[in-house]
Amino acid sequence: MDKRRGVSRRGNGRNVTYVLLALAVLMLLGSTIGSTRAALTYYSENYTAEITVSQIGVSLLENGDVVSSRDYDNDDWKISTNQGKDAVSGALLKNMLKKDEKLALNKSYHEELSVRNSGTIDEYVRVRIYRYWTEKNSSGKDVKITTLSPELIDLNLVNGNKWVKNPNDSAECTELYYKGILPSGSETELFADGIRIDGQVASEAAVETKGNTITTTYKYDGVEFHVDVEVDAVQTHNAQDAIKSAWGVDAASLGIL
Amino acid sequence: MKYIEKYGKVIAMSAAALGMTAALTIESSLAYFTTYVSAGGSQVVNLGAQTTIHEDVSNMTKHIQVANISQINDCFVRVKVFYGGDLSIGYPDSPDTPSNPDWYLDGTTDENGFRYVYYRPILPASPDPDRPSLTTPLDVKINVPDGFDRDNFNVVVIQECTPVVYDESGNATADWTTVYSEYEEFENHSGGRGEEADD
Repeated sequence: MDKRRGVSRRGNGRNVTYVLLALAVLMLLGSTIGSTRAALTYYSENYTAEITVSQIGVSLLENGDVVSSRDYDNDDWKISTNQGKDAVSGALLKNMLKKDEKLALNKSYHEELSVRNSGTIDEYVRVRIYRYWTEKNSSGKDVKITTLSPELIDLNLVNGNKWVKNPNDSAECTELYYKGILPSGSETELFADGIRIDGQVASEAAVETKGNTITTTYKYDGVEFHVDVEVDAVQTHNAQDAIKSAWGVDAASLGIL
Repeated sequence: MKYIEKYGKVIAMSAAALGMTAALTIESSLAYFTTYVSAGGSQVVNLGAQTTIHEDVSNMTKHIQVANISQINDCFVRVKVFYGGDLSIGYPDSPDTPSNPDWYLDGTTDENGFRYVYYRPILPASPDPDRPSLTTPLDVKINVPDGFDRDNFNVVVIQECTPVVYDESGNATADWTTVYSEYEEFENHSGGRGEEADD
């Protein structure tokens, strides 16, 4: 009996050894799998960050020069404008008039506007154009003039076959949607090629006579016209939903997809 | 039932965790890549004009000149000569054509037979108020019938100006059709559209 018990104890001891060995092997395997997974996860995340998917970018061009751009680059937004380092918005119409040139009514000035895809992914783009008038109030602050029509600021829109106008535009804001995808690095056709101030702005005047001097004073003398342009870009992947989410319009019904 | 009672909490917690994970996944898939830029610009529209008329008389001829004393705005000018009684007017070299080619008649007359004479060039603004730009002279000959009192007659000249505008071809032009509507701020001021000068 003792002998048998001894054999049995040895057998049990071996079993324990085998079990422990098996556990050690399993743990070893487990730890290997774990580290492999960790490594995969680590590289996988890096790979996602390195991929150029998120490098969307867009630029507004005036007469061929970039006035404002905003591109995603190296996990950060890279913003540049023609107004210097700290500006977030570009300046238009800076070179509309030559040195000492005076603004003439009804004269068409060169103003070519287009959009460039300055990112690394394709995108859909739209522009919003705001036109309005301001004047200085008694404290020198700019205030909007609501009695002067924005339509007197005649921004000549072109390439209507490529830029689809939102049918629900207001007089002050015009929305244009670029038809189709704008590939990375490409530039759209122009959406405007000139600007003109309608002579109707001089239609209201009063004349005062003193001695042999006549002074004609116009109601809208000294007013300032403004043109603001916003450009929006959105990814092409899942475009219908992306455009609906970002711009709130149905891309299919506008015919821009 | 026993199983559910025993593991109910665990199942519920697991379901909640799964739901939260799913919700997080859905949220990330709804974020789209977008970007935007903006730019704006403006220009001031300077309007307004100030003109004066200068005239001399010699040998029964009026020598008319108009000055643009505005420092900002260019303009076009025109004049009209009114006269009464048996008087008539003409030009030194022709009864109907001004001698100075800078001035021309457009062929229209008003209901009383008087005619505008237009100055062809743009009359530019002058940065120096002491040296305003002047038109070249328009000589208007006053024809007085025999026996008329040459020392007592009345010839009135009015002048008007209008800002320089451009036509569809980009040429500078004058829009004389602009209606000078009543303008509240000035509606109580006296004075017409033109400056009168009596001889």
